[in-house]
Amino acid sequence: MKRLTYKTLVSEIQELPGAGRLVLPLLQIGSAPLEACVGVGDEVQRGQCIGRADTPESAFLHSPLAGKVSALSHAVTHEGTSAGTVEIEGDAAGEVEAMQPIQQDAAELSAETVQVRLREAGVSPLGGNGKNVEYASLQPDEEPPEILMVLCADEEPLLQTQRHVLREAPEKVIEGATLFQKAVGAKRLVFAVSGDQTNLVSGETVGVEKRYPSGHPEILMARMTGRYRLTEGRPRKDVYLINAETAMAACRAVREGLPVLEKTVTVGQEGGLSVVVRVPLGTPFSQVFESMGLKAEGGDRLFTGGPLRGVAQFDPEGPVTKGTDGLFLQKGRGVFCYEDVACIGCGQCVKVCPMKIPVNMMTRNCEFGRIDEALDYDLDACIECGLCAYVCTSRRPLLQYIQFAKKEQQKAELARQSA
Amino acid sequence: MKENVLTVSVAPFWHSGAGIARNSYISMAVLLPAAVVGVMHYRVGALAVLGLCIGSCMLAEALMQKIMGRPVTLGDGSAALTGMLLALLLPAGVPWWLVVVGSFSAIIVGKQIYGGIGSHPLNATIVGWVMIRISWGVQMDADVALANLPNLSGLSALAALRGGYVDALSLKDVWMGNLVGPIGSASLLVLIGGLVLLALRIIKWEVSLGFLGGVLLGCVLFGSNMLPEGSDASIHPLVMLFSGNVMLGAFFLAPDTTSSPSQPIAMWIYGFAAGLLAMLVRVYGNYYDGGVVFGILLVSLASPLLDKIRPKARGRE
Repeated sequence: MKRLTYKTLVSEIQELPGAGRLVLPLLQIGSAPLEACVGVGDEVQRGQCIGRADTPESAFLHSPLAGKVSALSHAVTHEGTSAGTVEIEGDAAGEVEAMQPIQQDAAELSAETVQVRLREAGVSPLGGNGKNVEYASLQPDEEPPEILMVLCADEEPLLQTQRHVLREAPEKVIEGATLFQKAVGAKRLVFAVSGDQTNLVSGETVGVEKRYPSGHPEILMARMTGRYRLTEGRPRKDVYLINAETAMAACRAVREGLPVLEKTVTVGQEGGLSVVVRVPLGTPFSQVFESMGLKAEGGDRLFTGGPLRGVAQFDPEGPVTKGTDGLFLQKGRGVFCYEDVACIGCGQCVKVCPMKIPVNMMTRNCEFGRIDEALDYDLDACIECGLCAYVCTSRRPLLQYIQFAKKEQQKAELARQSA
Repeated sequence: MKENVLTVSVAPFWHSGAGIARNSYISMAVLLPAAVVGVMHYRVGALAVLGLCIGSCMLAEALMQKIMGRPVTLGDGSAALTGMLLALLLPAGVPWWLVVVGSFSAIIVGKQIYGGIGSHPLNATIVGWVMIRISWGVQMDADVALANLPNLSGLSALAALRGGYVDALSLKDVWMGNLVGPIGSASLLVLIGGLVLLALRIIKWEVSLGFLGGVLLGCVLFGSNMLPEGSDASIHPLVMLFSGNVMLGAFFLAPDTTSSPSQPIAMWIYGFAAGLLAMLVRVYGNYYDGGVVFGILLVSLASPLLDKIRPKARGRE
C-alpha cells in the first residue's frame, strides 16, 4: 500500500502576474457574505475595495488588478455555495492602493485596531478548502481562545503551500502571528511546523510528522491539548487556527497596509511535477494550469485542496479564491471511481482510523441514514481525514457516507430545536 | 451536454489500490503451487475436482445473481476463490455430483441467499464442505476416494495419528502432502502462500496468528490424547500443525473477511478460539478430519458478538 506522506519541498514560489478577466465571488472562506461596492463599468485600482459588509465576521475583498468591472453576476463557488460575483477585466499594472501602515509594537496596539485592520485588508483564514472555518472565526463577544495555532505545515500530501510560505518569509509569519494573537486575545501562540522547518520559527512549536494525517488540525490540536472532539469539557474554541499564509497576510496588512490580493497555490498533475505559484485571486483554474502547460480535458478530474479532503470541480474556468490551497489535475486514465457495493468486512478501515472508530459498522449505518446507530458507533468522533475510503477494499465512498450522515444529523438537530 | 465535461466525485481522489478482485486473484495465485503439487500427487482426478469446483461455483454465483436480479460479479473472483478453496479441501476422486452439490451449497446456501459477498454470516467454502461431509461421509473419506490410486498407500495423516501409527509419518511427506488426504495437503506450500498474503496485508494477520496459537496450545495441552489408549508414542507438534488443513484454515478460511471480526482484540480471540476448537474436534470429535473446518464454523457464529469488544473512540476514553 502506498504510504501517504508529505513530500519534501522542491522549487521556489513562482509569481504568476495574471491578467485578463478575473471572477471574484463575494463569499470567501472565513467571511460573512459581502456586498459589492462597485458597479458595472467602474474603473478600479489595484487594491481598491470591491466587496464589503458591516458585520465584524467579514473580511473585505479587493480588486487584484487595475481595470474595469465588467459584470456583476452569480455563480456557484468551489466550496459549493451560490454567491454573487464581481468580474474584473484588467492587468497588474500600477501600484497597489495601500492603507496607512501601523508601526507600533503588537503590545501597544489595541485588539480592536488590529481586528479592524485585518477585516479591512481582507485577512481571513486562508486555505484548507473551507474545512478549517469551524476552528476560526472572528466573533468578538466570545470567550478568547486558549491557543492560537499557526499551521505552517500542509494538511495533506501533495500540498506544499504553507511550508513554502513559511520558508519564504519566516519573520513575516512570526510577526503576523503575534499580531493575530493580539486580535483574537489568545493566551498562547503555537506554531505547528513540519519536522525539517522547526529552525525557522521561535517560541512554542508542535512538530508535524512526515505521515498523513499528522498535519490534520484535529490531530495537531489533540497533540497540543490532549483533547479530542469528544473529550468532555472541550470548549468549541480551545484552539483558534490560522495558517502561515494568513499570518503573513496579517503582517502585510498591518505593517505595510497591503490588502490580500493573491493566493499561493500548489498546482500539479497526478503523477507529475507540482509547483507552487502565487496568482491573483479570481484567476480561472484553466489559466493557472496553462502556465504549467496543462489543460483539463473531458473525463479528467480537477480538484481543489488535497487528494484526501479536497473538492472536485465541475468548471475548469472556476476562480482561485482565498481558500484554494491546492489545484490538481488527474488525467482521464488515472481517475479512480467509487462503487456502490456492500462492505465485505475486511477491517482495513478499522485499522487505519486515527480516531479508533469501528468504521465498518459506522458507515453501514451512515449509508442508510441510521443516524442514532451511527452515533453509537462514534460518528461524532470522526475528523474526516478520508483514510478509510482510501484503503477500502470494496471501494465504498466512505467519506461521503460520513459527511452525509453528519448533515442528516444536523438537519435532525435543527428540526428538534424548532419543534 | 457540453463536450468538455470533467469527472466530478467525492473525496478522497486517491485510493490505495486495494480491491476485492485483487485480493481474490492474489489468493488464488498463492494457492496455485499447492494445487499443482496436489495434481502431481493425486493425478488427473485432482485436476477434475479443481476444475469442476471452480466452474460450478462460478456457475452457481452467476445463476443466483441472475435470478435475484443483481449485477453478476464473477469478475471479482470471489466465487472462483471459494471454488478453489473447496477443491483443496476435497480428496481427489470424489464423485462429480458431490463436487457440484458442494459447490452449489457453498455459493447458494453459504453466500448468495444472504445477499452475496459481505453479507454471509459463515464462510461459504466451509458451509459447502460441511454440507457434503455430513451428508456423504463415506464418499468424502480420503482413504476411500483415493483407493484406486496405486502410488499412494496407507492412511491420511490424521487417521494414522488416531490409529497410533506415528512412526509411519515422515515430516517431509506431511509438509509436501505426499500421503492420502485432500488435494490441498501440501501444507508447507499453503503456509508460504499464506505468508505472502500476510506480507501484502490482504488477510487479517491477527486471526491467522491467533489460530496457529490456538492449535499449538491445544496440541500441547491434549494433543497426545489423539493416539489410541495405551500408546506411548508422542506427536511432533509440527505434524499437528501441518496436517489436516491447519494452514489452509489459518490463512485462507479463518481470516475470511465477512465471517470474521474486524476489531483487534476480537480478531485475536476469534482466531485463537477457532484454533483451540479445531484441536478439540480433531482429538475428541467424530469428524476429526474436519476439525479445522468445524472449529472455524462454530466460532464464526460468535463473530458479531466478538466485534463488540472494541476500544473506545478517541476522546471518549
